[in-house]
This record gives sequence, structure tokens and C-alpha cells, in this order.
Amino acid sequence: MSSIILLIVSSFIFTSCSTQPKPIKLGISQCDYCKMTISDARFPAEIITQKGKIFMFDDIHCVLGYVKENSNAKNEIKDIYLTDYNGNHAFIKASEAHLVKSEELRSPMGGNIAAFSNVDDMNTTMEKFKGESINWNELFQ
Amino acid sequence: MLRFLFILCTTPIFATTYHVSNSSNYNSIQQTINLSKDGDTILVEAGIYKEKNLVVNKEIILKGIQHPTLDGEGKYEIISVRANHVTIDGFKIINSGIGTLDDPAGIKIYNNRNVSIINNILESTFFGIYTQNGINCIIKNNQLKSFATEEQQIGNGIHCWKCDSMQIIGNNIQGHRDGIYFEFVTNSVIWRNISTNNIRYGLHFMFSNNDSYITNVFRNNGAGVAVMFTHGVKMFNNLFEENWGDAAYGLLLKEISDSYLVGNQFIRNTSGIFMEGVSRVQMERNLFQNNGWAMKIQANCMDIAVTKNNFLSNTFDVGTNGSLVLNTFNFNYWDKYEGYDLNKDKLGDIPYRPVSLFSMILEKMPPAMMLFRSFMVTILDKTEKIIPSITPENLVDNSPLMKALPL
Repeated sequence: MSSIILLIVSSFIFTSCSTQPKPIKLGISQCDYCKMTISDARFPAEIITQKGKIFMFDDIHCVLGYVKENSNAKNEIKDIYLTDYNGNHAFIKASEAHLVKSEELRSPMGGNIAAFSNVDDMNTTMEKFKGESINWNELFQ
Repeated sequence: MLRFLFILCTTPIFATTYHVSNSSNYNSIQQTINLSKDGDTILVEAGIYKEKNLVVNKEIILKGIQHPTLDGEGKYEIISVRANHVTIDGFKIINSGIGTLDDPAGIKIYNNRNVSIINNILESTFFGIYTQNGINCIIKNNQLKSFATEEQQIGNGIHCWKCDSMQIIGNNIQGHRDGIYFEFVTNSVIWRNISTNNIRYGLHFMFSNNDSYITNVFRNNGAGVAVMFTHGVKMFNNLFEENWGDAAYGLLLKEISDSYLVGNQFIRNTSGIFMEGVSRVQMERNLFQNNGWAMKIQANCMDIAVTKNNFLSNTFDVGTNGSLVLNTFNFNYWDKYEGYDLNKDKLGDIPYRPVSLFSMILEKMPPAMMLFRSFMVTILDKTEKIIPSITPENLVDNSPLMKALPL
């Protein structure tokens, strides 16, 4: 009996809103801006709001579009996460990411921006794709 | 003049036909291509050829007899077309390389015009037939089959990027990411293709203006068909069938303008059509049958004319997310219409409101679906029909048909 009560109580406690990015299910999760099913692991992004609500996007282009179209969204944002273009595509905070823009990246919505967690990765990719390094804060303004 | 005639008569005579087979002197397709000149024909006998990456850099016809197999051994892009006026006809192309950086394909056309890819069978390729910067190419009667699962990276079946005047005809595409993918492709036609069981979209259009797709079948794809950020699309006589799921739509239209949707059938989809940011679109003589929602129109759509369509056995006819309606509904047949026709002009005498109260509630709170078909919901819906308060007042068909159209 006590275990049931514990279960009920804990279910209330642990359903509080998360502040960690939620893994994106490729082929199932939908982009909250362009409505496309997210299927490219290299480019997704997430916005987490102050209230803990999570919005998923398939391309940085959609993050910027979403923020632009929802004027009060910008104030409610807690964190923005991008995915590492290399490796196992882990989430990285947008403010800490190194970004490359290149036409040849061909991202799902034509944002053509890749994020990297370390500078070396960024430099090797930049050489391959003839891209330019850009700054998140300038992009997000 | 005589000299001109002489040239005219003799040129074809110099074209050579080569036979490639495993048993003859010519047993390598690549070496034969290297020997050949523009205008030559290379016939390839049945057999298995492992040519790594076959580069076609002459204006030749490459024709397979009884579908010779080109095996990419899971490592290579199988055929790279790097010349104009190339025909590739009748090959079986299997096991291309897999890669995310250079997008290997079964057949890739690089910046060429007037290339024909006909009657080929492609199996287990990463991208199937990939065209970049192609002009006036024909992709016809090919069978493409790949074996994608949701987790793994896979390319599209027929992928066109920055092309013009393409003809995609009579192909059968299965198990890719998107069956047919168009990005920056203009003035092209997609006709009589069958695109089924792809993990994302059967057909995916982006930034591709003035294209037509006619008499295609899109069945059981992960998320249906998406047409986005485009103007001047003609969609005629297509079948959109069996696309189920929360994020699946028979047809997703986003940011579309000046387009036509005529004679299409939407059967058994979660949402037949989902429209967002759509303007100036004519929808005529379409059939919506057995869908969850026949149509979802977001409030940011305008000047959509929905005329002479049949709405049969849909759970909800129309869903919307706001009260602003700038679209018109006229002369449609709605099987849920309960009005009468006293003056016998075959039009209902009282207007029909296709948006029910409950579908408005669901739009805000999807879990309320639990209460669907309960007594209270039915009463609320009836009350709303008589005194509309939550449903948009202007979303109304003032002349609903009494009989279904023969579509």
C-alpha cells in the first residue's frame, strides 16, 4: 500500500517540467516551425522556455523564424540548444557553440549553419565546405 | 551545299555500338566508355559488374540488356553522369555507398542537361537518382526500393536540387526518406508515380515554383506529402492515402500561393490537408473520405476557395485555430449536413457550418478527444450549430449540395 502512495506522490513530484533538452526522435518528432518531420540528426535545435516547455526544430533557420514570428517568445526563452554536427550529435548550448555557415551544408530548411562543440572540428569542416565562422549572438539579434 | 549534305548523311555512320559482356574482350564498362566517342552506344549484356564508381563523361547511350547488375558494394556512388545528352537505360543498380557528407547515389547527374534515366531498377541505394543543376532531364519508369528504418540516415528516392524543366514519370519509389524531393526546381512535371512506405514524405517540395504533379499515388508514407514555400503549384488527380499519425498529413501545405488543387482524393488520413500561411488557392472537385480531419485551415490562410468538393465519412470536416476566416466555401457536399431543400434547386436552404464546437476545443486541448461522442459533447455541438459562439461565424457553406458530386 505504501508503495502505491509513494508511486502516486512521486509521479506528481517528478512530472515537474524539465530543463534539460529532450532527445529528438528522428522520423517522428515534428519541427514546431516548419511542421516537417525531423530526419537529419546533424541540424536539430531546441528551445526551452522559462516554464520548461520544449520546442523542437529541424534547422537553425526555423529557430530564428519561430522567435521572429512569436514576438513574446524571446523573453520567455531559458535556453537554446543546438546539436553538434560531428560525433554523436549531442546537444550544446547555443551560446557556447561554434558555428559555420556554408551553402554546401544543405541543411533541411536552407539555414545551412552547423554547430560544433570544439573549435578544431569547426575548422576542419570549414575547410571542407568553404564556410565562414559566425557568431550566435549576432545571428540571434 | 553538297558538302553540308555530305556531313548530314555521314555523321551517324561514324557512331559505333560497343557490346560489353563478362565473357568478351570488352568486359569493363568504364574502359569501354573511355574508348567511346560522343554519339556512341554501349550495350551491356546481363551479368554482375563491379565497376566501383562508373563515370559517364561522354554523350553516349548506355543500355542494359536484361538488366545487368551494377554493384556498388556498399562503398561507391554507382553511376556519375558528367556529360549532356546521356541515356542510361535498363540497369539494375544495387548497394550504393552510405555517407552523410557527399550524399552518394545510385545515379547522380552533375550539372548537365538532356539526360534520360529510363527503366532502371535501384535497390538499397542511399540516394536513388540524384540530380543537381540539371536541365530538361527525364527520369522515367524506374523502380526504386530501399530499406530505411527511422533511426538511420537515408537519402531520398528521386532527389532534384536546383533544376529546371524536369520530367519525373512513372517511377515507383519505396523505403527512402522522401520518395520524391524537389528543392529549387522550376517548371517541372511529376506524373504517374507511385510513392509508398517512405519514412518521411511521399513527395516533398520546397522553394519549387511553377511545377505540376498529376495522377500520382502517395500511400502510407511517414508523414504524407509536404508542399512548402512555393507558388504556382498545380496538383491534379493525385491520391493521398493511409497517412496516419499526430504529425502526418495527407497533404501539408505551408506558405503556398497561387496554386490549384483539383480532382485529388484524400482517403484515410489523420488530416487530409493541413494548411498554414496559404493564400490564393483554388480547391475544386476533391474527395475527402474517411479522414480524421478532412481539412485543417490555420487562421493565417486567406483567399482559399473551396468549391464543389465531396466530404464523406470524415470524423471532422474542417478544423481551424482562430475566429478569423478569409476563405470561402461554396457548393460542397457534406454528408453531415442535416438541412432541407424546399425550393428544389438541389442546394440546401440553410447554411452548413463545417467546424464543430468540439473540433475547436480539441485544437486547444487534444486530450479532450477522450470525450468524443459522449452525450454532453453531442449536446454542445447541437447547441453550437443553432447559436454559434465559439466556432468562427464566417466559416460557412451558404449553398451546400444536397447530393454528392459524381467524382
